[in-house]
Amino acid sequence: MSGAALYIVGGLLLLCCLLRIFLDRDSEDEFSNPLSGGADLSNGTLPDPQLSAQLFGNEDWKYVTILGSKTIEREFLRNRKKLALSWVRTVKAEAHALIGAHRAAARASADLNFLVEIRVTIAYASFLLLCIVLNAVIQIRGPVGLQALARLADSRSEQLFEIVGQFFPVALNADDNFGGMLGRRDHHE
Amino acid sequence: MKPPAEIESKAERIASARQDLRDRTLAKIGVPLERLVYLASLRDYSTGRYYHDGLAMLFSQEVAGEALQLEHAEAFDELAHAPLEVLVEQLNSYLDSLNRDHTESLRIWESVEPYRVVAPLGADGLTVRLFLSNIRIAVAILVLQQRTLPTLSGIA
Repeated sequence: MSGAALYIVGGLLLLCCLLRIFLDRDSEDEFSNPLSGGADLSNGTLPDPQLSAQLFGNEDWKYVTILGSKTIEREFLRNRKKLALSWVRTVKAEAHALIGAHRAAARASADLNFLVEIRVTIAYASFLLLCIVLNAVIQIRGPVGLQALARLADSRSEQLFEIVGQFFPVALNADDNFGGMLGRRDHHE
Repeated sequence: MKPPAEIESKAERIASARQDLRDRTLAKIGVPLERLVYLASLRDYSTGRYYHDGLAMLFSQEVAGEALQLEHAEAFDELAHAPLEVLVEQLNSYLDSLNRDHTESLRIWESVEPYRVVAPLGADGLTVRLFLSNIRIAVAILVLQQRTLPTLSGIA
């Protein structure tokens, strides 16, 4: 009996999480640029490197708390949470596009290196794991003060770009630099 | 494909147009947020093209348009990553510079949200969203300050 109750509670929690994610996605365009004509992921534009520092930093939050208005604090955290989750989705999409190009290049390659493929897989898996952790932490406690974790996710993404670029430069030159992703990486270094 | 010399001269003309715009017009606008609103207002919302008669007469419509577009992007970048506190100060200064009733201007910014169209085309989507969110919070902060200030001065 207690086992069945545990399953029901677990199922309900899962349903709540899914609903929450679904509702978050529905309302994420509240601050979208009316002139841009699309969300960040679809139009190929990528987050500015300065963006993560501002999104996950403390500076703005400290200023808001000094004001002493709970309404503004709530609104601030609600907005930043949505933006931080979008940031995670964007860096994930960026890495996903890279892996897609890498797979295409690997398929066409005559001398496929098994060890390189393992390195790429491990780097991608560790990056995705970090994104899952970051996503969960943002959902639970918000993005404020998570610069270190965001920087780690960003550096893992860079590492992935480096590994793929080292062995498959052809993949990195494909598809118009992934809409400027490589430009962003160069700028970041 | 245009020859390199022509491309270079066009780039130079755009640079000259930008300098002219800065010297004659933008230098007189002290608040960066006001500069951003001004540059956005020179854009035709249905075509996305920028128009400035004086600049177009000195250079050409095409060069003036590109110079304005670049200045707009630069003005936006300057503000998009500014701390919230700075944005609140700038919004306050901008509303003061309008020479209209501050409360009424703030009410318009709160209800009509004119800031939603000040971002340039082609700006990073997430950066635009952060900027719009920050401006919205800045408006809320100024509204709050306006409500609490009379109470505080009454107490004093």
